[in-house]
Amino acid sequence: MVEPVVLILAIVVALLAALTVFSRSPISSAFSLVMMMVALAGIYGVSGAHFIAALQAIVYAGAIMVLFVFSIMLLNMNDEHNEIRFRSWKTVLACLGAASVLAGLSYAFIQWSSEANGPTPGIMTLEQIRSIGGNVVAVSGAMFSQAYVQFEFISLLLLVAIASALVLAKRKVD
Amino acid sequence: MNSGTILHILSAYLFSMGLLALILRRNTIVMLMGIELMLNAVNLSFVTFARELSQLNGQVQVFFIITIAAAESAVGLSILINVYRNFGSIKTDRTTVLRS
Repeated sequence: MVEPVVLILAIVVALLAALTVFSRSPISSAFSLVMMMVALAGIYGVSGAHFIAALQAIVYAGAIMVLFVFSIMLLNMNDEHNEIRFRSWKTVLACLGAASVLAGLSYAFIQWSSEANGPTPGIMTLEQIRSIGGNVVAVSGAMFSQAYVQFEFISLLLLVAIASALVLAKRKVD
Repeated sequence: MNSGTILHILSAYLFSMGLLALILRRNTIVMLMGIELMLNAVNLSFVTFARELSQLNGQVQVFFIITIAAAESAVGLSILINVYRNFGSIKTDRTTVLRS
């Protein structure tokens, strides 16, 4: 049985993703992408991943999409919309390709979830996480015990990204 | 059909929508949004698998993916600003210096 909240949020996310791809102006696709991120944060919250839900709302819907909207505002694209030609055979071919990717992935997922002897589940059930002290405590315990090297490398990557974005976007002085 | 299956199918749909945005659109900002859609599809798949298998490693990986997506969009948008400064447009059919 499907939880009704999950079903409603999934329908909202699907509609907003289609609106992101097919809407005419970039600013409306950016705003539907923001709403899609917020609805996905709701899905993560319902799924029990509270830390990821907060991160999705803060980093994705907050920081990344502000960056997108800001650069759309900076670039002033007045004549740059409505470029999908729906009658062209390339569009039809692209839609067929995307539909085949969708069909293949969905077949694999349904096959996986209907498999009787799949991989054995771990110990972190929702009750176990609740007894530890919540999702954030459990995730941070896993992160800083198994993945702390990756965490340090991610901080290095963020430093490099800041430096390269500054170098790329600054105006040449000559 | 439980809600895990619905979320798996939703993640496959989001991935194919991101692919479609990457193929169909000529506007580079919308193509970057397609990449973000595909990263979100992978995140959703990680979280759903983590719940179904009662593990937490998937959520840790989602944390890293979100961080890398932030870095990627910052660098990508600064490259876009440079492209706009050099070509006067960010459509992919205007940036044709290699085609002579």
